[in-house]
Amino acid sequence: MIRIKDLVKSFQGAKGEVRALRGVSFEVSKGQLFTLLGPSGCGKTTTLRCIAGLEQPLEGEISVNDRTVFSASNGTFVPPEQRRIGMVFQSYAIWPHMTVFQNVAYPLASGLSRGELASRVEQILERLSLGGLADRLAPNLSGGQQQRVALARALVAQPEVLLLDEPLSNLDAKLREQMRFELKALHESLNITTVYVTHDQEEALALSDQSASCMRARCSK
Amino acid sequence: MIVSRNALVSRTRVLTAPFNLKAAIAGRSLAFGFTLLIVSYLVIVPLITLLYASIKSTEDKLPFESTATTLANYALVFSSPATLPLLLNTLLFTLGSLAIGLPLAIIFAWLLERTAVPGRTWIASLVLVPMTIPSLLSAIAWIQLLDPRIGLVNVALRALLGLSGETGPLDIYSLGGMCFVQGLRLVPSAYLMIAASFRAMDPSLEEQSAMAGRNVAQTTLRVTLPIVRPALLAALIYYVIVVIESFDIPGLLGFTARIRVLSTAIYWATHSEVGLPDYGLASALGTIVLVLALFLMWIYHRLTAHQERFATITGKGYRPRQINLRKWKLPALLFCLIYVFIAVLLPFVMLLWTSMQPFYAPPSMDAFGRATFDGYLNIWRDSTVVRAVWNTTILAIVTALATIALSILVSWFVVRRRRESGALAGYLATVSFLPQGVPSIVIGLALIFVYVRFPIPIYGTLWIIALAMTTRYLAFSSRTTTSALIQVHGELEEASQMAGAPWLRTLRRITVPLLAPAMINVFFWVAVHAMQELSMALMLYNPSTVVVSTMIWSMWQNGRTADAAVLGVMLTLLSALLLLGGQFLSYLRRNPY
Repeated sequence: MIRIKDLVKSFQGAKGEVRALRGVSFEVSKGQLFTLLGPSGCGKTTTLRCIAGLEQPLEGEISVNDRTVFSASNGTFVPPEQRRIGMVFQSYAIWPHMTVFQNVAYPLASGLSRGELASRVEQILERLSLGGLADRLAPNLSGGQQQRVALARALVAQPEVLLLDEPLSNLDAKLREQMRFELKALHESLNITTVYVTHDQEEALALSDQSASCMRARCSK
Repeated sequence: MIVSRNALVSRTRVLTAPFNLKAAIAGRSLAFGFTLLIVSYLVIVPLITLLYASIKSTEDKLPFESTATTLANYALVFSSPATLPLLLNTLLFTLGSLAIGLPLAIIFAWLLERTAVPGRTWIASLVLVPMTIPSLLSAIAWIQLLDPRIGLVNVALRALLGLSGETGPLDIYSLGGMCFVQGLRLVPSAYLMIAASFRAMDPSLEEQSAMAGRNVAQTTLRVTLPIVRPALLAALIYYVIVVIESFDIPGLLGFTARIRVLSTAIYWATHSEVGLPDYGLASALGTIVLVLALFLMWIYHRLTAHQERFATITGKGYRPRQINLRKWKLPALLFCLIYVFIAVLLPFVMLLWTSMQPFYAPPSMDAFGRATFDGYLNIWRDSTVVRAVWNTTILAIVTALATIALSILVSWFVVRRRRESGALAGYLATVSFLPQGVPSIVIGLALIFVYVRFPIPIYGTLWIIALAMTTRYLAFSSRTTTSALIQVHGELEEASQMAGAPWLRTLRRITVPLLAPAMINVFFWVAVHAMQELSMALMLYNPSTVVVSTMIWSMWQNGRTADAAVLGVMLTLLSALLLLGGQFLSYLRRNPY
């Protein structure tokens, strides 16, 4: 589960300080798919990046599975690499100098034996219907395939939480519908606590158990 | 989608190797602090020390042996009767070199970018070839061609025109000769800079003029040139700095001609032929050149920052309309060929010829019979040459590695930390670019003071030369890696963090491989410059740290012309090989993104 309390975050803009988040609070219970819905610039991606640890809020508290990863009051800040969170970026961020296999194997710890590593990567690639693409270099993939690779990479280390930042926005309409269905199925089978950022209301309604709409940097369910 | 839920969920997590939280955060901050410290040390400390040295009295002493603060050094410079001619020479040398080099560069940029002159690609490559010849060797080659007595061109001209006498008609040992050789040196890199601005121009602006009934000449004068004028002005300022800094050509030609410019005056003040080195005078002159160059660099910076706002110069690559030269096609081609013959072929062939004549003789059938490659074998019998080659190899590799490593760190903090620590990142960006406006001879001079003052035992070693060159090349190198890093989407690094990789691992496994093409180019660029650089090495070397460039310099001073040419030809070929190899490797590593 994820608990967020009174999150405040501001950026240094060209004309002084811009408040990106003003007291955002919500809770996502274990296994839930939670959507943050709102127009661009309303702070939903910032909220997501705060959960990930890629941004440090000014005030508030974030805990993931009862572990406080950020607390302004007692100065806790767990860096992103230690939060055990999987994330799919809007740009997918597939590393172009690595193959699909290398991309997906990256999050697995080095202590793993070669055989075990390979079997885990192959398992997740199968799961996302990427079986035959392991040796492909990332830039030689279609948009839909890149997205699956990003998902596989986010899931391979079995994180406690999955964060999705507008994962379907770069796909064409037909593919988007198909991926939406697959995401829903994937979430149902893995039952992983998920936060999903989108500006598409239809998408949010189709996917989520619960959603919050962001308006002017506050969230309401 | 058939795998059961348990298959993925039931296993324990793999990536939770516990490690020290504080250490993980501290790693990056530590690296930031380290980078700030190193860059400040490399750039700021020498400059402050130089300023300090210039206000210390020196009466046959090193600047720091005396404690009295004084403006005597500056008073000496400004009251000396030698100063006015020195400044005048520097001014004339600068203006003369630019007057020869820049028009040629503009003509080539226009001909090769905008017109359909035959054999464009070949000519464009040939125009760039002189970049691989060290300036010192250009000067030597031109002396062989234009020496008033034995210069090949002069001998030929005397015979052709039926002139009597033993000398003339041309004299390379003059201000005009210096401007000519230096001007030709500027053409390749100025051509690259100016061609880029021609390429970035929206051709529809010219087409509009054509539609309005203007012919090619009118369009060029009234549309094309005004549009590229900011870029031309920036190039002008940039090459003023380059000429003021240049040492090799005025050093070699001006030595015989007894013509001194600021950069060579600093050298001769510290390496006086008669009497003790005058460090007070050198530091005052150094400060004057430094202030001048930094001021020009500031103007250049302002101009190029403004240029980005210039709407027509965009990053977009246009395919410009090519002007049909019609009846001018042949004259244009002829012009290109004559230039390539005079500026590219002639000096290199002359250098090759000199290297094959144990006792110099002007080209003739007789001398051709005596031509031999023996010099290339015999030169290795000189143990100093072997040492110089070895030292140069180490120097080039160490300098290139140090520069590239530092540049990666600088770029990372400048680009990725701008939001969190804006002031410090801004400081880092400014200070790492500052050496672009610090003439090499001034860096060499300043480092003498630093290491005489602070007894760190690297004075007189190869490392101090590597340090000087790292400082000098940091500006170009960090500029290049910074613009490459801006192209790398930040989410690529963040994805690595989310995958559990700490900062250093992300840098090593994601950032560095993605920057590889730029890094390879920078590595070879710095290595070749370090191999060819003369003025810093000349200020800081001693007999045990002799390098190839200083070796060629002293061979020339001692009349070992053939040996100097042998080393020069080898250095030129190696430079060309390295630059081409770098391009090729970088091309292989290019991301297919």
